[in-house]
Parts: sequence; C-alpha cells; structure tokens
Amino acid sequence: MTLGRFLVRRLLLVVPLLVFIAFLNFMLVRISGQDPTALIAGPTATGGELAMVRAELGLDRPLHEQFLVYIGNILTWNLGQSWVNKRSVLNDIWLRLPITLELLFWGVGLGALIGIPVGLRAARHHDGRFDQLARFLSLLGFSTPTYWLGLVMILVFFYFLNWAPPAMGRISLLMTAPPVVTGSYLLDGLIAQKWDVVQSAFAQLVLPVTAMAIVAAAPIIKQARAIALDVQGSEFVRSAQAAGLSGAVIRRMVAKNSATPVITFVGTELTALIGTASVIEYIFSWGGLGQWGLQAIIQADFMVVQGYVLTLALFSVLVFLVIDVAVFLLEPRAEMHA
Amino acid sequence: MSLLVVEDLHTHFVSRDLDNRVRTAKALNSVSFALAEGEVLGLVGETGAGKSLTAFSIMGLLRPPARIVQGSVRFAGQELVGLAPEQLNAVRGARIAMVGQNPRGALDPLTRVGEQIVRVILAHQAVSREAARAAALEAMARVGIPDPARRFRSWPHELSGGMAQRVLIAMALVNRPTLLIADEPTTGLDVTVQAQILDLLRTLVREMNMAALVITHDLGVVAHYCSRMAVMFAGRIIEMGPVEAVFGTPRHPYTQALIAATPENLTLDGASPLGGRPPDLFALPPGCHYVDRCPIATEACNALPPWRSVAADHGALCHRVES
Ligand SMILES: Nc1ncnc2c1ncn2[C@@H]1O[C@H](COP(=O)(O)OP(=O)(O)OP(=O)(O)O)[C@@H](O)[C@H]1O
Ligand code: SF4
Ligand SMILES: [Mg+2]
Repeated sequence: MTLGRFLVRRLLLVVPLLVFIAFLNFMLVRISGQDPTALIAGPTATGGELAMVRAELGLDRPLHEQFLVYIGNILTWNLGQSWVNKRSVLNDIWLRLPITLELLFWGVGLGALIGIPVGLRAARHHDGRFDQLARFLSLLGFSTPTYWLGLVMILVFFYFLNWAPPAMGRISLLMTAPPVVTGSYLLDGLIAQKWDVVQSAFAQLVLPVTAMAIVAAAPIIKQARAIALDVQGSEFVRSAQAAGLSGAVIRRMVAKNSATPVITFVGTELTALIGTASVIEYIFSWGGLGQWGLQAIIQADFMVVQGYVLTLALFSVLVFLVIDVAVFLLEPRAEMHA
Repeated sequence: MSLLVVEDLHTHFVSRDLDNRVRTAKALNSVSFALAEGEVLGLVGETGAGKSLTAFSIMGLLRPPARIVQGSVRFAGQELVGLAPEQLNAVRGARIAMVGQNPRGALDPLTRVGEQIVRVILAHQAVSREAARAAALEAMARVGIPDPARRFRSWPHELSGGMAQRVLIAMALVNRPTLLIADEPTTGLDVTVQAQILDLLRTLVREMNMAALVITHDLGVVAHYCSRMAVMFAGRIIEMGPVEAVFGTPRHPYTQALIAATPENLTLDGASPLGGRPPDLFALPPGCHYVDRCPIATEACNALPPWRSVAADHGALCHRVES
C-alpha cells in the first residue's frame, strides 16, 4: 500500500470521528444547564428582552436545527463570537493556539530529548546505578505538582537569583512583537531577524519550557525504559547476541525497535499534556488557549467553549494522524495492520 | 582432543521474594559433558529440564536473574565462563553458532533478512560489504532458499517459519563455525518442513564437519541423527552414552520409563510422557531428583547418587545402577 492510499483511508476514518466530536461538543454544552441569555441581556432585562436575545442566538429553535446550523458554521469557518466580549472565536483561536503549541512542542520536545535517551540507557543498565537514578527522577517528576513547580521556579530563578526575566508574558514588556508568521515570538523574531526579540522571547521561554519538559520527561523516561526492556528481552536480541553482534549494533537494534512505540507514546503525551500546558501558561501569564478555554467554561461562554473543545479535538486527531504516518513509514509490518 | 568441555556447571536463578528473602532456583546442577570435533550429541529431556539453559550457559546468553554460579565451559581450550561480552563475541556467531526454536522471533523485524546475514558476516570477517553480500547470497542458496536475490530483500514477517529457519541456518553457518548448537530447531514447524530442516542440518553438519549439540524433545531425531545422547532431568544429566546403548539398554529408571513410554513415535511432546510433575527447582530433594517418581527408590536415594559407568562411554546417575 502506498502512503497516499494509507492517508486517504486514515482521513476517511477521521471524518465520522470529527462529526461525532462536534455532536458531543454541541450536546454537552446545550445540556450543561447553563443559560447564557441572562448573562448577555444583563441583570435588568425584561422577559421580552430575554426572548429577543434567545432568538438572536438561535436558542429558541429545535436542537437538531441548531446542530445543523452549528455544523454548517464550522464548515464555513464560522465559529461565532464570544457571548461575553463579542470577539471572534476563530480569531482568538488563531491568536492563542500558537502560544499553547509553542509551550507544548518545546516542552514535550525537550522532555523527549532528555527522556528517551535516559530511558534507553536505564534499560541497558537494568537495575544498575543509572537505572535507579532514572527511576527516582522519573518518580520525582511524576509526583511534583505542575503549579508548584512553576511557582518554585519563578521564586528561585527570578525572585532570588534574578537569572530569569519576570514571569509576565512571552516577551519583554518593553519590546514590540515581530510581524506574525508562525505566532511564536521566537520563530517570528528569527524570521524577521530581530535579535533582541529572539533573545527576549528565548529568555521568557526558558522557565515555562523547562517546567513543561520536566513534567513531560517523567512519563517518557518510564515508558521508554519499559519499551526498551521489553525489546531487550525479545528473542531476536538474544539471537543477535548469539551471533556475536557487537554491543553498539545491538544497541542500535534495540533503539530502532523501540522507536515506534516510543514515538506513539510521545505523540499521546502531546495531547495528554494540554492541561499541564494550560497551568504553566497561566502561571507565566502567557494568555494561551488553556487560560482562555477555562475562563469561557466558568462564564458559560458557549461559543468559546465549543471553539476550544473543537480545537483540542482537531489537534489530537492531527497528532494521531501524524503518529500513524510515522509508524507507517517506520514499520515494514505496518501494511499488514493497516 | 575435545572441542567442548562442560564441567560441573551450575546455573541458578537467584532472586528475592516479597519479604526480600533470597530464593534460588537451581536450574542446572553439576552438568558435565564433552563433545569431540565433528561429533553430534543429542540432549533430551522433558520441558523445563534445563536444555535451553545449558545452551545459553555455554553461549554466555544468560540474563539476570540467571547466572552461572560454578563450573567451567572450555571451548577449543579457552575458558568461556567469565569472559567479557567483547571477548565472547569473538567466539559466538563465529566459532559456535546457534539455531533456536522460534525462527520467526529470532529475526530482527526491522531489518531485511539479507542484511541480517551480512551483519553477522561483517561482525566476524574483515571483508567488504560487497563480499559479505555475495557470501550471504551464497549461503542463502546453500540452505535451499529459492531465488536468494529476491529473498535477500524480504522482511522477516514475509517469511514462513521454515523459510525463516533456513535464513537462521544460513546466518549460523556463514562464518564456518566448528560447533553448532541446535535448540529444538524444528519446534513449531509443519511436519513436512520439520523433516526438510532436519535433513538440511544433517547434510550441512556433515559437509562442514561441524560438531553439533542437538537439543530435542524428539527421541526419533536423536535416534536418526546423533551418535551419542545425554538425558536431562531437573537440571542434571542423568544418563549419557552412545545412542544404541542408551536405547538398547537404558540404565537410569527415568530413561527406562521414557523409552518404554514412547515406543511409537519416540517423542516427548513437551510434557512428561510419564505423567509425573517435574520437581520444584526452588526445593529440590537433597539426593536424587527423581526420587519422588522412581519406582525402585530406596533410603539411599536421599543421598546424592554417584555417576556409575557401565561401559567406557555409557553411564547413569543412580544408586541402583551397577558399574
Ligand atoms: N526467572 C526464573 N526463575 C526461576 N526459574 C526459572 C526462571 N526462568 C526459567 N526458570 C526455570 O528454568 C528451567 C530451565 O528451563 P529451560 O528453558 O532450560 O528448559 P528446557 O529443557 O529447554 O525446556 P523446553 O523443552 O520447554 O524448551 C525451567 O524449569 C524453568 O522453570
Ligand atoms: S538414585 Fe534412587 S531414586 Fe534416583 S533413580 Fe536411582 S533408584 Fe531411583
Ligand atoms: Mg528449551
């Protein structure tokens, strides 16, 4: 099977999934029992005014009609506007998504960069010093609350040591943002060749990304170690040893055979750690997607909540698609499972 | 001179239980045998007797918690027990090769089969990649793989069990070893394929004048294939001798029961044909391991039985065998 055909099949599977997610998303918000009408119309609104607002929002129509309208709107990139502040939901997503993704990708990327080699090495020295240390660190990472980690880092590296800039956004307050290309100040600064922006954006990134990486690395170490141990225990490794292959060749073989499950796991981490990213983003005042979504939930801002959930769902679907493609390219056996 | 001398080999699994007490499973207990150049020795015994573990101990392939606690393995005069992996690698795959019981599991799933053979050649011979490739193709042809050039590029999952075993045999022989250890090389293959693989192995062992240690459940294989045989029970070799002598006049009660119980197809089929349970390796009897199942056991059997020779090269580990 070619990659093209594989992709088409996967994408076809994704469509019903997305419709289903949209449906759940729609229903969950409707049946949550929260009514935004009063919120929008204000505390002094009369019954007539309330009815007008309901009609304006389409809330007086039957549910299935509302759903069709909702799907139609999604397909035309119309995610509506916030009922609280009238801002376009789609615009806010474009504004805030890169912020969360930046934290997520650098953080999980760094976590993987540390976690995978540590996990593989720990497996190689099973029960040795290094393994014990790795297991301890992983456990430590697991048991550290994210918000506490973030606050302690700010306290130590900004307040006491003054090595890091204040945790106030993604760039120094004195600086103008570079023209938006990717939405990441670091990358946009590089593209615009504004070195002071790059430097400031980088300085702002260090603490939150490190916090994110620590949280991400703990499960990656654990999982990479378990996967590599499993591969090491397989018969083909023993038969490679029986054939006198060198330690380096066998190490490469173990790494290669661990790659697929490890990549899959890191991908799932990417989607699983969005919540963590929201916490960190909040502590460092980044104003990303998580902060925005949580606020909307508290305010019963349906349109924003729907946009938020849909974005997360789409992101997960995309991540899993990329994982599938990676596995397809890495695994000669993939065509059998496809 | 003997090519391989295994002497007083003890391999134990040392682990700790939940209360952190040391538990020892004595899986191999004083295993000794020797193999001359070009000789084919059969090693039989019911499942769990320690046959594979003997092979792994010789090849330095034990994994924790298994380890050799005592004994020696000398190959061509060189002591292998305690060698560092790098030193062992000069022997494994080059002078001693092994073919296992699960051919499809023994191939690296992410490497094309031809490349795997090339890898084994390059690990032991200072030749160019092209030369290694040519040698791999030649070896594949020699073990009867049709269209080697095409098969060279196959992935392991594309091969049948029999074809995978041929690839592993090619891999084992490509560096011209002087000793081949075949650990149930036909388990899990179709009956017709079993016969083909056995014939192939026999032919190659003869042509290349290799010594071979053939581990099997199948007494028929031993009868047709080996000159000498050793019978294992609960981590001990309890009888050893020329195949005709052991089949003709088995001395140890276990061997006698074994041969009496499997007259037709001569196979042990994994389990004990005698219905008894193998003894617990964590709590072996102090004397003869067979004492619980032996019909002629006496008080004396609670002490370690001596090795009684009944002929120059035939003996058994039993109190009641007369020298
Ligand atoms: N981790 C372990 N701890 C304790 N005992 C173990 C452990 N692993 C294996 N054993 C025991 O070691 C013994 C030796 O097994 P081995 O694989 O050598 O048997 P075998 O004769 O090759 O059997 P088979 O015919 O089934 O291949 C078995 O009885 C097994 O129960
Ligand atoms: S030593 Fe005793 S128990 Fe063991 S086989 Fe001989 S007679 Fe039986
Ligand atoms: Mg075995």
